[in-house]
Amino acid sequence: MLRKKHVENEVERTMELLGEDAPLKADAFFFTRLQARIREEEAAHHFLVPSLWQRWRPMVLAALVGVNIITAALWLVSGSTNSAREQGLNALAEDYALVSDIGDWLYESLGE
Amino acid sequence: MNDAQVFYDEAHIVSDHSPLDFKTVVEAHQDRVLNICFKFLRSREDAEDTAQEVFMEVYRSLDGFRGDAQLSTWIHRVAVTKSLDAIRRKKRKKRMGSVRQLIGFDDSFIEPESPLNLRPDKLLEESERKMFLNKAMDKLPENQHIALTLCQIEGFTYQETADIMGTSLSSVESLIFRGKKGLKRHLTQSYEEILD
Repeated sequence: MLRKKHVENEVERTMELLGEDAPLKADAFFFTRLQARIREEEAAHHFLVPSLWQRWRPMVLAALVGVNIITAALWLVSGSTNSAREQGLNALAEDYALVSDIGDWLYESLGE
Repeated sequence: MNDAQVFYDEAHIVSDHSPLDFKTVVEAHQDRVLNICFKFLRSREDAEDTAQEVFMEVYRSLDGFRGDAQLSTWIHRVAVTKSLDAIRRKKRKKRMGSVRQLIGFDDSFIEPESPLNLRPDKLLEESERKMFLNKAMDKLPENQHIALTLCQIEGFTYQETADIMGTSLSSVESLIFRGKKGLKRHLTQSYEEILD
């Protein structure tokens, strides 16, 4: 019983400490330090952006050239695949005596 | 500086962002911001550092301030956010320190906390009570911690606390009620553990 009362007492006393701290005051040089920090950050930013671009520019250009080469190669490969497919279809059409080239057929029809 | 003066300055700053105006904002809010940061971080050095970060953010964002919230509410909100970020950074650093120590990269010795005994015939010192209070506050959910800190410790009204937290008045009332209840529960638990 005594123990419980004692704990309750301590809890109450502790809860009373909420908001008991004396407020702090910023010192006279707070703004001066802040200004210095802002200037430092701005200087670092101005230095960082151009230097980063200068450092990364060759790599960005190389990457763009690489992407172009890969795109061209893919386009050529897909083009040759199409022509192989076309050859296959023509062979099939010939085997079954089908009209294999619509362009030729049209030309002949119009010529007649 | 009275409230009308602050409002005049705030309106002036939004329309014309010059270093002089920024100085006025800083001087009008530096003590409050420092105190908010201190209440969360409990170290003057960390609080000053975080307060400076708050004003750097204010400096960067003043042009983007749309004026749909009071400038002081917005600055206090930034102060709470930056303080919570600083706490998270500290916790992360502490965790990394523990991991480094565990795997043997860091052999610095961490002194164990001195055991405290609560005797029925002796009351605790105020500093000891404060230590328990801080530990209990840290165990609360973040929202309750913020509401209690702003309202009970820093002296903001319920409405101001609601504005800073971006929530409703009834939510703040509920957070404070549950926060105090949780605080009492954690304190009781801690005191029972150390009672002889």
